[in-house]
Formats: sequence, C-alpha cells, structure tokens
Amino acid sequence: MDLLLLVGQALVNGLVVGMLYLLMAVGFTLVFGVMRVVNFAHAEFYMLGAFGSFLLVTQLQLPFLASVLITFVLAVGLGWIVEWLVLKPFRHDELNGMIATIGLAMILQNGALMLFGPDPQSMPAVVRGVVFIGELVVPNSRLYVVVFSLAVLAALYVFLRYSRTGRALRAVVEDLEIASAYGIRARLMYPLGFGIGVGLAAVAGALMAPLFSVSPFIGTGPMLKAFIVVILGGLGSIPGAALAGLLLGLAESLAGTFLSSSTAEILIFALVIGMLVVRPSGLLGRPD
Amino acid sequence: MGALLRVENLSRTFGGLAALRNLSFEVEQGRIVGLIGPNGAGKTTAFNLISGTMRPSAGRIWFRDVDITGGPPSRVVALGLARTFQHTSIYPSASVRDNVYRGAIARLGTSMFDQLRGGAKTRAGLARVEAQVDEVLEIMGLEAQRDSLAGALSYGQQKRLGVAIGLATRPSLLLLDEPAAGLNPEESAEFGRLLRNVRERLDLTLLLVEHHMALVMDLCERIVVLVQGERIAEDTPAAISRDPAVIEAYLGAQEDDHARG
Amino acid sequence: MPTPSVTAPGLPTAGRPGAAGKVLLPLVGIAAIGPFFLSNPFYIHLAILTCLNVVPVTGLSLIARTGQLSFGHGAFVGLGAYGAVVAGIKLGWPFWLAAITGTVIACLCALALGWVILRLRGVYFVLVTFAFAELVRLVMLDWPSLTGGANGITGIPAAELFGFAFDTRHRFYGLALACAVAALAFALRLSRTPTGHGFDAVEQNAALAEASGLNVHRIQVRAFVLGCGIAGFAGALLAHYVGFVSPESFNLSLSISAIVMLVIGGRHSVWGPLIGALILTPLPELFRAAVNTQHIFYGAALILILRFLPDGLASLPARLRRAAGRN
Repeated sequence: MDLLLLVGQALVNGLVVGMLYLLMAVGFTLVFGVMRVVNFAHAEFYMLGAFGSFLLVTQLQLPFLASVLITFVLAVGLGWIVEWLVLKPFRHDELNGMIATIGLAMILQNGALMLFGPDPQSMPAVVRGVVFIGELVVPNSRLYVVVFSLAVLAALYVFLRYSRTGRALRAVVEDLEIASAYGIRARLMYPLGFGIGVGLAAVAGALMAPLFSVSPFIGTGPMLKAFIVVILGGLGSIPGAALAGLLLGLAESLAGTFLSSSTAEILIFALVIGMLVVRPSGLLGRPD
Repeated sequence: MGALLRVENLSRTFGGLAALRNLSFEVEQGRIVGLIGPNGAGKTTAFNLISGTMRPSAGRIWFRDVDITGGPPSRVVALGLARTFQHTSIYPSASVRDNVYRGAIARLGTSMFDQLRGGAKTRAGLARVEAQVDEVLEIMGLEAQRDSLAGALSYGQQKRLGVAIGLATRPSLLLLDEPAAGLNPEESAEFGRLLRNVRERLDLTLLLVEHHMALVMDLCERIVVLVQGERIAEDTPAAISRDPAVIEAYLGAQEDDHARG
Repeated sequence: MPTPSVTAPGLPTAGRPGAAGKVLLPLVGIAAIGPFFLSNPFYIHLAILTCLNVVPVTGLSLIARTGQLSFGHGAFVGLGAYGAVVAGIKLGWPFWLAAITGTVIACLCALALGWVILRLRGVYFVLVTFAFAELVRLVMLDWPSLTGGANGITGIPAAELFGFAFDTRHRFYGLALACAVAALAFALRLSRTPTGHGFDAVEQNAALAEASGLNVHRIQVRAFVLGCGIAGFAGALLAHYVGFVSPESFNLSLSISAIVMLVIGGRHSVWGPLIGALILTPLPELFRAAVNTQHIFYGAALILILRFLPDGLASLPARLRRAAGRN
C-alpha cells in the first residue's frame, strides 16, 4: 500500500511538472513550426513571465489569476515586437535564426540581471492549504498550476481549432507552402506564432513563480527540458510536444522517487539521445 | 557486358502514391538516350533511384553488370555513373575552376594525412586532377570564366558548369536532368552540339530528361516515354513522334502547353 | 601544390591574406611577441586566455565548415581536460601523454556521437549536441570517485615537457602561443587540401557533393572528430594552466561563447577564430565592472553581425573591396 501511495504522490507531482514542460514545449514547437527557428531565448520569456506575475502580485497587489493573464498578454505583445524588430530577417533561416536567438537571450537575461539583480526572490504564497485525494496530499498551490495550465491549453486548443486565425496558424505550422497557396498571410503569422509561443512560456513562468524562486537564471532548466520534450515529441508536432511533455514530467517524477535525481536525469538524457538515433522524428513528428 | 545501364521493374511509392511503376529499360554503351514525359511522370524520381539518392520500393538497377540498387551515391559515382541537377546544380560562392575541381576530388583516393604533408601520391594525383579540370573546362567552353564566381555566371553558363561538374567525376554514363531548361531554341541547339561533342571526346554515354522536344528529337538515338510513372513507349525518335499513344498522352499535351504559353 | 583561385573579385579566399591582412598579420605577430616583455601578470593572463580560446574555436570552425553547428563544444573541452587530468594524476603519466589521452578521449566520444547523430538534420544535430553537453556535465557531477564530483579536481601540476616546466606565466604563454599558431596553421593547411575542399563542398551544397562522389556523412564525421579532438586538446592545456577543473568550468556558457567568437570572427575564414578570440577574450576581463551591459552588447553585436555581415568580421575586407569596386 505504501508503494502505491509513493507512486501516486510521484504521479501527482509529476503532473505539475509535466504541465510546465508541456506549456514550454508547445510554445517552443509553435515557434519552430511557424518560423523554423530553434528559439534559444525561450527560457528568457519563461523567466520574464515569472517576474511578470511576481511584480504584478507583490508591487501592484493584483490577484494571481489576473496577473497571469496580464503577463500573458504582455508577453505576446513583447514577442510580437521582438519578432518584427529583431527576427524578421531570419525567418526560415534555420541556422542564423537560431544564433540570433542566442543573442536575444543574452540581451534579455542580462537586462533582467541589471533590473532585478541575481539573487533569487520568493513570491508569497498565493493560496494555502492542501487537498486530499484519498490518501494523496495535493497542495492547493500546485492544484492551481494544473487547473490554470489546463485552462490555458483548452483556450489554445479552441483557438487553434475553431478560430480562423488559429486554423491559419496551424496550417502554417503543418505546411507553409500549402498554407501560402491558400492565401494565408504569412507576414501576420510569424509575429503571431512567435508571440503566442513565447506567451505560453511566460504563462508557465508566471504559474510557477509562487512554487519556485524567481531570478534571472531560472529559465535554463525548463528550457533544457523543453528541448528534450520537443525531441521526444517531434519538432513541429504540437500534440506530440504535449504528450511528450506530460510523459517526461511523470517519468522524471517517478524515476526521481526511486533513483537519485541525478541518475534519473542522466537516464533521461541518454534515453533522449537514443530516441533521436532510432526515431529522429520523435513520437508523433513527421519524418522529413 | 550487356547494356551499360539496365533498369528492371523499378517502382517507387510515396505514401499511397505510385510515382514509378515497373519501369524497365536499357541504355547501350555510347548512346544518347532521352527520357521524356509530362510533368509528374516520374522522370526525376527515376534519376534519383538510378543515382542512388533514393531507394526504390521494388526493382533493380544494374550498371556494368553491377547491382547498384540503393546506392549510396558515392559508390555509384565511383563506379562511373554521375548525374546533374536541374536546380541548385553548382556552388555559387566558389570560382568556376573550384566548382569543377570539387567534382574531381572524390576520385583522388589519397588519405587526409598524405594530403596534409603534401606527399608524392597527392601531388601526382592533383596534377592529374588539374589536367582533367582543364580539359573539362575547355570542352564545356568555360575556360575564359575559370576564375569567375560561379554565382555571377549567366544562366546558360551555369547550366554548362553543372554538366562540367558531372564530367569531372570521369563518368562512363552521365544522367542529365533537364540540361536545356530555360534556354531559348538557339541556345539549346548549341547545347545539343556541345553534348554530342562531349560524347565523342570523352567516350561517354548520356541519359537525359528533357522537355525541349526539338533537342530531344535531334540529339537522342533512343527515347523512353514515361506517363504517370509507367513506360508507354521506347523507340527511335522517328517512331516515337509517330506513335499515337505517345502523341495523345504527351506530345499533344506539349502542344497545349505551348499554345497556352 | 595547386592553390584555389584567388583572383575572382570578392571571392572568399581560402586563408590567403588580402591587402588588409598583409598589414594586420604582422601587427598581430608583434602583438603576439609583446607579452613576453610585459611584467603585468594580468595582461599575460589575457594573452594566454586568448591563445587558449583560439584553439577550441578553430576546432569549432572545422565542424562549421561542413555545415553543422555544435552546441556541445564546451563538453569536449571538458572531456579533454578531465581525461588529461585523470591520466596525469591517477595514472601518473607525463604531461605530453596525458594531453594526448585527453585528446583521444574527446575524439572517441566525438566519433561515437557523431557517427550516429550527423545523419540528422541540422536542427536535430544542434539539439542533440546540446543534450549531450548536459549529459556530460551530469556524468562529471555524478562520478566523484573519478572526477571529484562537484568539487572537481584541484592541484593539477604545471605542464611539463622534457623536464622543462611551464610553471610561470611567461613560460606557459610560450606554450599557449605555440599551440594557437599550430591550430591555425593546421586549419590553414587543411583548407587547401582536397579534404578541405570537400568540407566546403559539403557545406555549400551537400546534395551536389554527394552526387559528385563525396561521402557527405563520412566527411562530416571526420570534421566533427577533428574539431572535437582539437577542443579536447585545448581542455588539456587549460587544465594545466588554471590548475583545477570542475564540471561548471565546461558548461553551456563555454559552448555558447565558442559559438559567439566563431560567428563574430567569421565562420568561413581560417582567421575567424583568431579575430573572434582576440576581440572577445580581453573584453570581459577588461570590463569586469560592467559585466551585464557588456553581455547585452555581445547579444546585440551577434544579431547585427548575423544580419549585416553573416560571414563575420573576417569577411569585412572583402566586402569593403567589393563596395569600393562598385563605386
């Protein structure tokens, strides 16, 4: 019975982490799908999102949910501007675009360092208490994360599935040439895709801010995991990224419970490299 | 040895689509053979399969009685079968001479270490390659542009350069993918003369895919007609131009294309 | 030995210095000798670091010359460093043998990894080298008996050859300078061989290269092994200068700074690594006070270079010549 409890607890924790990875990975895949650029600055948008909700809650005393939403909107706007100003020459230039995002990451991270300093800051808890599911303990703060993440994802799903702009975006991700042939204005799609993609990263950061500390350096870890998720799920497949994100979070949590966390990480990295060797297109990606 | 190139029941499907179905034909040594057909008939796919860039779904390819099915391209070239590309057929940011040089170095056969220390084997090999590069440039009429940037050449010159790179690999059989595409009738007639000259001087066999009917009829000794992935005829140009099935499937379509402009 | 044509206007020359180079190279030569006469240890330290940076960035340029970009270069520097140190300390081998060991370890890892992943499209290659670098760092952290874990290994003795110890900064600078010159000379020589031409062919048009009989995969693996081996050698040198190694010395930021140096210096020129190292090594040390502003500058510089001068600063003379030729 104890084992079951342990596993169950691990699964619950894994779900939270999985949601985080999922949001990061879906955003990352969206950016890659639209612009064919590996966005090394994705981490910094996560970090900015965390700072966003942190500042809005502590400085402006806004309610948490509102802060997250505002952060999302601001991030989409920032992403739009950045794409238009900085990344426009690199659309579809995979190699140079990727290196340009490194430059972007350097600017964003050091800008944050100058503004906020390097020390981690912690956000006061937005909600206290726990909920009991059977014998499993689920802190409310983590429950928030799961619920809000699901809400964001549901909204994204509806947008991509049912709105004209959303469907156009999906078409561009799947096949740019065919999409252009149908008259979809690619010029609008690039900043939109980038904006929403990094917006998702910012939401992930905003949601996680109360759980972990906030500093200019918090983005690297989740981004690394996003890379892995995207490799596993297939670059260019949004459902693949979603599925792989969840699986990685769960696998990590389970492995971390029974093995040392560093061994778990090593195993996962080795698995990823192995996966790439055997099936480069990932779980659901297109072989191309 | 029988025919230089023998293609047997070659098939290739993409997803559910059959790009090529049971294609069989032969190319005899020293001949110029044409592969024609409407767009989407599978001609470039056939080239990709023969040159080893792609694996067939079924069938075999024999070159000099050696099974070359599945490539890899480097092996096929080493055996003496080279191809040119319709687009992106050159190295634009290198000089013309360097372009041709790069076609020749695969057959140099010396190790990196020997090259680094400038060993005798490398020096001898490079002297040989220099001579070959000079010969190819002269045959293709590009000596004057030797030091020019390949990307700065005129379109016709770039097409000739693409062929030159193929020739630099010292092939016995050269596959030419639409070598005259985009050339006006006068230029393409000139190209035809050039190709015949190349065949003579280098003792070559040529297989070309082309849409320029005038060039094909004039240059080729045999023609294979592909429609929707299947061979519908293989004969001399005269016979092909009279074949009703070919006229209906392809030559008629050609006229329509020209009429529409 | 035939050399590539250099008379085409604006053609990127395979290493032969143009007019600007003929003036600059002697200056660089003088600058290289300068540190021997300096007494301020800080400046000698900078000179040493610059030379030590030239080496791995040259290695990275070889990999880039076949059209791939490795985001794990720092890990191979680390593999060479740890390999050399473990061989030297645990096995008691002399420096030259330990350095070779480190280099060979880096080469073998590159061979195993490269053989498998170089078949992947450029993007996947980038992601895997990134993941591999993280994997190496984690393994280094997690193997205290061999690597000292998070604390690393300290007390590494100075480099020594035939009884001559490079234990002063001046002496080590001599060694570092010699290695930097050797790396550049190797890259220059290689670029003029048929193998080097093969690298360029693969980078510029891999399909055409393959159709000309070049085995693209083997060429890319070869470049990867060479480049990572050179990085490993640099790691061995670095370890015997700094005197200690730890997993954090070889993390992602090392890989990224190598890429930044290469891109700003010039990906397609033999001199690119030299220019990148010369410009970007002293700056962080000289502007210690304004670290963050400085990094923002780098980020902006990187983006601007990519946009307006994608072949790096090394391509500036040719560009200017072309612009002048047009006017």
